[in-house]
Amino acid sequence: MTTTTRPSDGVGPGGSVSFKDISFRYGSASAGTPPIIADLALEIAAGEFFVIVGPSGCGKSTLLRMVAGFLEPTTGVVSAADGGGFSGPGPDRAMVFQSVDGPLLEWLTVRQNVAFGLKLQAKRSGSRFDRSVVDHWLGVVGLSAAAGKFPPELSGGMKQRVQIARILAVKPDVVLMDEPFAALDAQTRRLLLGQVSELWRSEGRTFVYVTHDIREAVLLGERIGVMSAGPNSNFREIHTVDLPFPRDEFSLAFGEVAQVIEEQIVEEVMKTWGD
Amino acid sequence: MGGLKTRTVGRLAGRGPITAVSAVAIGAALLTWQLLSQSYDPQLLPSPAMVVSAAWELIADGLLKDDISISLQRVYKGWFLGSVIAIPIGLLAGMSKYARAAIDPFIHFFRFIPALALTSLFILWFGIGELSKVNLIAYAVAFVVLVSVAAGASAINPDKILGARTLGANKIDLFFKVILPGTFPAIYTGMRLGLANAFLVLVAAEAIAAQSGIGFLIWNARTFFRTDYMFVGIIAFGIIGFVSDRLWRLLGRTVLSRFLANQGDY
Repeated sequence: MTTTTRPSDGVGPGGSVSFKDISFRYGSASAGTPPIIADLALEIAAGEFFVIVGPSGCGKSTLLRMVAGFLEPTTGVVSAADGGGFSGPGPDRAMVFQSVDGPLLEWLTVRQNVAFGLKLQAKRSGSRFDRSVVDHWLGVVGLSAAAGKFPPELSGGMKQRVQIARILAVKPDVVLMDEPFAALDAQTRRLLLGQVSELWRSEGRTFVYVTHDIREAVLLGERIGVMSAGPNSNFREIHTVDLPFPRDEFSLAFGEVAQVIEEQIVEEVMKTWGD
Repeated sequence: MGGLKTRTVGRLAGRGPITAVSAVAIGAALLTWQLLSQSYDPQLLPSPAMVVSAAWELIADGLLKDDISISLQRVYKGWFLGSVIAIPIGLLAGMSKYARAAIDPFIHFFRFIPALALTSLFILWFGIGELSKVNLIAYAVAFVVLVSVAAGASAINPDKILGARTLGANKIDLFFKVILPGTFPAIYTGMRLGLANAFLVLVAAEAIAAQSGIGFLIWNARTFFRTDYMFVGIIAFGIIGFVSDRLWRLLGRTVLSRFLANQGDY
């Protein structure tokens, strides 16, 4: 599917994310350890696909967890662009995890896992739980036939598709993905990446995606933020990737972008080896 | 619905030969017993046939049935009581580090005091009736269940909890929809181990102050030198323990199977 307008043109239901003067450290400042992240600022537009890359330990996942509401920044504010605060975790900023076996509830069927968040929403709002929404999302991720299976009976790729379905079903303003396909084989990963990119274009939500994989980053991202090595990490450079979707990973332009980012990350990784 | 597909297939395919192996092993054990008993005084080692006829006597006058039924009542009441007390405390200790800090010292102190050491005290406190026996069994059950449940509740994958919160679960949702069902395997296993403990303590409870039950049957048989009755009692324990455990396993494989998918097949 090819669409000419992008979600980030501001027509979709996506939400914005704003990091203002963020620093983060584990433990208290008096312990003398430098913060992992220092003086970081970033604005992610509504409907944008933003990818965060960087060396291990630079705080990529930490940033994502701040948006999700799992972590609070030590200083600074994470909010929507208009200053609307994020209070704690919630389905407006839902997260797909890297862990394949952790997040799903293995005593529930695939269908019940996808329905989990929807049922909670229906209960909160007093509205009726709409079963057809579950059917729709099972269809989108190609799991209609596996609806009655339990997670331990699924392959890794199928489990991640259940995660994606149950997150998108609750209609988040911001979809957070923390290396969702790192544990999968190359072929499955390739297929799912294509699907994520399509879902972003068709659903029009904001995606914030963390990865180690540069090819993944350039396939998906409208902008790619390269983080410097921690501690005191920050964005070293934010690249705007002006290539049309769906992207052709074998094109010359794709390779050029990937190479620039690759070089920057290698430089950052080498810094941590110097110590 | 149910367990893993591979497990069902394996069970269907392997059932016949597996049962045959068990039957042959039981037959060989009985044969060995018969042969051994021929070279010993029946007062020390009665033959299988003598034990069967002794069992028949006890069944005919209804004694065995009464003893089994009273023993089972004590075991199940104590097992149930101990589990009902232990499960909520275990969940609390597994979920909150403060609750755990408060409960842990007591758990790890009392856990090493054998139930048998408390027999006299319990008789003093709860009398020589059913209450002291049931409470003693409950005590012996509670600590295994408690430790198992606490370990299970604290070992729930953090991504499960974060995943539920990101979908909008509040604390109450988390407890009832994630933590409690996620702890079912630990509750199930803890109660299975607790059941074995319950039988262990039952004999002691019935030996000291009882006029009924399988334990009493065994101790009483000693007074009259009825070694064959002792064997009947011992075998009765084995059988009701085995059957109880199988029933518990059946429950695990049917009603609870969706919670126990990763529990193996033992």
